[in-house]
Amino acid sequence: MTNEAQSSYVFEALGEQLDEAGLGANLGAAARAFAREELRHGELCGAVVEALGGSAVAGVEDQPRFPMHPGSTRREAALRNLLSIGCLSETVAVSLIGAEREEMPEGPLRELLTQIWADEIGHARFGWTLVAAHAPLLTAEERAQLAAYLPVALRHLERHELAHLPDAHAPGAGSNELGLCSGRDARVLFYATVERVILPRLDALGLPARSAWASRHALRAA
Amino acid sequence: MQAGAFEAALRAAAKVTLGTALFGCGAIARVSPDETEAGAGGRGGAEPTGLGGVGGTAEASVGGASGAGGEAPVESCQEPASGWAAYEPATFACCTAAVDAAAPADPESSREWGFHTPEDPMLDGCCAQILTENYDALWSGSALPHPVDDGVLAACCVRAHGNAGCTPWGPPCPPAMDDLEPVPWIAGRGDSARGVA
Repeated sequence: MTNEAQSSYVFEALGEQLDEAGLGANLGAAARAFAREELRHGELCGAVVEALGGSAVAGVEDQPRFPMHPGSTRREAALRNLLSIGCLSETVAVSLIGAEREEMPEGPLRELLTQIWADEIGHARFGWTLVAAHAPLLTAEERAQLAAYLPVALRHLERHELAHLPDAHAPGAGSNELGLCSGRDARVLFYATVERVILPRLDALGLPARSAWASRHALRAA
Repeated sequence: MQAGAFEAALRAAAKVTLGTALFGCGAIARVSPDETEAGAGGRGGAEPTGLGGVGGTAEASVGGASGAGGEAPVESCQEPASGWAAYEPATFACCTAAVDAAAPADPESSREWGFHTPEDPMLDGCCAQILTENYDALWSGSALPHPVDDGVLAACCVRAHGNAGCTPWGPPCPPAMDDLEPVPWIAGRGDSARGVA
């Protein structure tokens, strides 16, 4: 639930950025629709928590600082955020949810997760389609700047995912029915998704993703 | 995690990276870079009205063929006892006609279709009827258990999932370029996770 609240803000902000980025018509509206869906599904997830006997009440952190990437052109700045959100975070989500869904038995929760998964697929594809369409159009300077952003984005992805995939979490019997999986297994899948799916595709688009991944831990504060 | 689930998840992730691969509802997104402001030519131009139909039957006449614009044929379908998500042949047929009549010719680029707009519980229900039991086949690329016209399928996909973001794993805020503080613990935990494979 709390993630949805935060992500809703992220998509609202992305929508504003896309309104100005010149990447195509209606893209900002699409991102704002993502935001509404985030909130609606946060409510659904909360309903599941309540149905299972929990209390779906949580504080929401302050709105995150959405980066507009000053110093970049509008389109390159937008592509940075689309890449981070769609090509990285949401593609990992497609993989993780896909695995959980695969192991869930038929039933209402699987239907809910199916809907969630469908939405994630649309999200990820939104990012990939735009990055694939516009990356080839970047100037050499824009491309270099986007390439320089890649290790930052990849390291951020890794930090975020590992923080949400507890290494020691090993759910007990019946956990598959709830869509739960081992945190350790999920980490393995996370790395496989990055290394076998995301990096090769970004490389194919002319973005130096493998070298960025290799150098992500070498970053130092500016 | 079973090996089959692991590999299926990777295949799904790989597919979304290919922007042109249409393999399911989630694959449809209105993101063409040269997308125009144009609305839809319309398969009929108006949405169905009312919920007063007899369950699962095509109550009203189905007039001219799709795409004519102007006066639209109106279908009124009713939720079956088993719910919209459960396939019921007559409801499915009614819903197919209703969606075909209501949806614009190019739902992906229409401002009048998608994200449950216009608000119409019957259309939402009909798309659940058309999609729910077809999901697995859509994503696996196999034959649909309940075949339906491609245009109707696309219309429902856009309406239900044209873009969305329902996710317990909602994306975090992207990092700023100056987010460069070293985080040494990451390397160790990451390597630990790899070792499990």
